[in-house]
Amino acid sequence: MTLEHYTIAGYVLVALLLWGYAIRIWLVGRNLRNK
Amino acid sequence: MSSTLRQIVTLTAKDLRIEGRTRQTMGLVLVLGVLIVSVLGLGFGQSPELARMGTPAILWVAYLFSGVLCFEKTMAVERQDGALAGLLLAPIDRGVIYASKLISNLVLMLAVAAVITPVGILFFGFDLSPAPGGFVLIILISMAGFAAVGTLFAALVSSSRLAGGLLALVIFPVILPLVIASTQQMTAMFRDGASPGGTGMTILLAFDAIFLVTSWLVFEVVLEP
Amino acid sequence: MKKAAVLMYWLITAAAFAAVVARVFWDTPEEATMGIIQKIFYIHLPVAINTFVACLLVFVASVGYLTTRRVWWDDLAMAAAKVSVVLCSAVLLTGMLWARGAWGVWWTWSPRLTFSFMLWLLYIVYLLVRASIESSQRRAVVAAVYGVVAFLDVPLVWLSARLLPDIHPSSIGLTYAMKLTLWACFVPVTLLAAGLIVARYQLARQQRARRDATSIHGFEPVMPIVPDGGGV
Repeated sequence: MTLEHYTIAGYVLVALLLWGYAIRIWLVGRNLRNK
Repeated sequence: MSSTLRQIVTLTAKDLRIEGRTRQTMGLVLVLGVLIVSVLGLGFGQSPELARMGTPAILWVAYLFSGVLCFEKTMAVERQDGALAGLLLAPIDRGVIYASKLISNLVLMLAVAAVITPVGILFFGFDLSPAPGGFVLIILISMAGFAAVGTLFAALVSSSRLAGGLLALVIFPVILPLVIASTQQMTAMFRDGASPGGTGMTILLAFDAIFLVTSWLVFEVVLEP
Repeated sequence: MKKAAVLMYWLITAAAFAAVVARVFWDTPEEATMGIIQKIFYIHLPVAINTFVACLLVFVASVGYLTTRRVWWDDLAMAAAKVSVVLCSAVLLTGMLWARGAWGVWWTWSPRLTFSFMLWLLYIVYLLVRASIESSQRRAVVAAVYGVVAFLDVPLVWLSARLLPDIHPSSIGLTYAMKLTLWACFVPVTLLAAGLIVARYQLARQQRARRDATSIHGFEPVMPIVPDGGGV
C-alpha cells in the first residue's frame, strides 16, 4: 500500500459513504411509494 | 427567592432522609464502585507501575459506572407508588425539583467517592502528598458537572424501559471532556508538580456552568409522570 | 417540474464531485513535505465543516421542537443527525488514512482525531436514543433534549481534545493553486450534504404520513408498518 493508495482510498470511501447513503435514501423512498 | 430555597432544602432533605432510612441505593453503588476498582486492580496486578500512574483514570471508571447506577436509582425511587406524579402536581417550579435531585445526587456521589477513592489509592499505591487539596478540588468540580448532566438525563430516560442501559449511553459521550480535563489536571499536579489551572480548569468550570444552567432550564420538559 | 429540478441538482452535484476529484489528482501540485497523502485534506476539511453544520442543525431543530412541539422539527433533527453521522464517519476514516499515510499509525489520540471520534460518539448515541424509544412523542422530546446537550458539549469536547498531547502536529502551507482546490472541494461536498439532509427529511415526512394514515388515531401501533425513522 503506497501513499497514493491511501489517498485514493480516502476519496473512494467518501464517495461510497455519501453517494451510497444518497442511493439508499432514494431506494427506500421508491420502495415506500410503490407499496 | 427564599421560598424557592426552602423548597429545595425540603425536597433534598426528603430524598436524603429516604436514602438514609432505606439505604437501598448506597449499598449497591458503593459495592459496585469497590468491585470496579478491584477488577482493575487485579487486571493491573502484573504491572502495578501502570496502575499507579493511571489511578485518576481508574477512579473515573469507578465513579462513572457507580454514578450511573446511583442516578438511575434515585430517579427510580420517584417512580415507586406514583411519588413523581404527586411531586409534579405540587405548585413548584420544575427547576426546584432539579436542584433538589441534583444536590441529593451530589451528596450521595461524594459519599461514594469518599469511600472508593481511598480504596483506589490504597490498591494502586497512589501518592496524594504532592497535592491533596488540588486532588479534592478537582474531584469536587468534576462531580458537580457529572451530577448535573446525570440528574438531567436520569429524569429524561427514567420512563423508558431501557433506562439503565440508555442512561450510561447518553451520559458517557457528554462527560468525556470532564474525564479528559480532570485527568489532565491530575497529571499536571502529580506528575509535573504544577498547580491546578489553565485550560483544563477552565473546561471543568465551564462544563459545570453550562450544564447546570441548561439542565435547570430544560428540566421543565423532561419529566413525564 | 420538481422531479426535473431534483434530478438536475444531483447531476450537477455528481459532475462537480467528479470535476473536483479530477482537479485534485491531475491539476494540483503535491505538497513538498508530506507528498500525495496531503491531498486527502482537500476532501477531509469540507466534510468536517459540513459535519459541524449538520450538528448545528440538529441543535436548531431540537430547540425548534422543544419550543414549538411541531413534529417536522423532530423529522429535521433526525435527518440532520443521520447525515452528520455519515459525514463524521467519513471524517474519521479520512483522518485515519491521513494518520496512516503521514505518520505510519492507524490511530493516535491526537486532538483532531480524538475530537472527530468524540463527535461521532455523541451523535451515534443520538441515533441509538431515537431507536430505543417507541413512543414517538416521548422519543422526540428525549432526542431533542439530548440534541441540545450534545451540541452545547461540542466546544468543550474540542477544547478538551486540545489538552491531549499532540505528537504529530501538522501545519500545512498551501499555495494559491492548492487553496483554489480546497475551495472548489467545498462545492460538491456541501451540495451533497445539503441534498442528503433534504432527501432524508422528505423521506421522514413520507414515512410519517404513511404511518399516520395507517394508524388508529391516538394509538401507537405495536408493530409499526413503516419504520419510524430507524434503519436508514
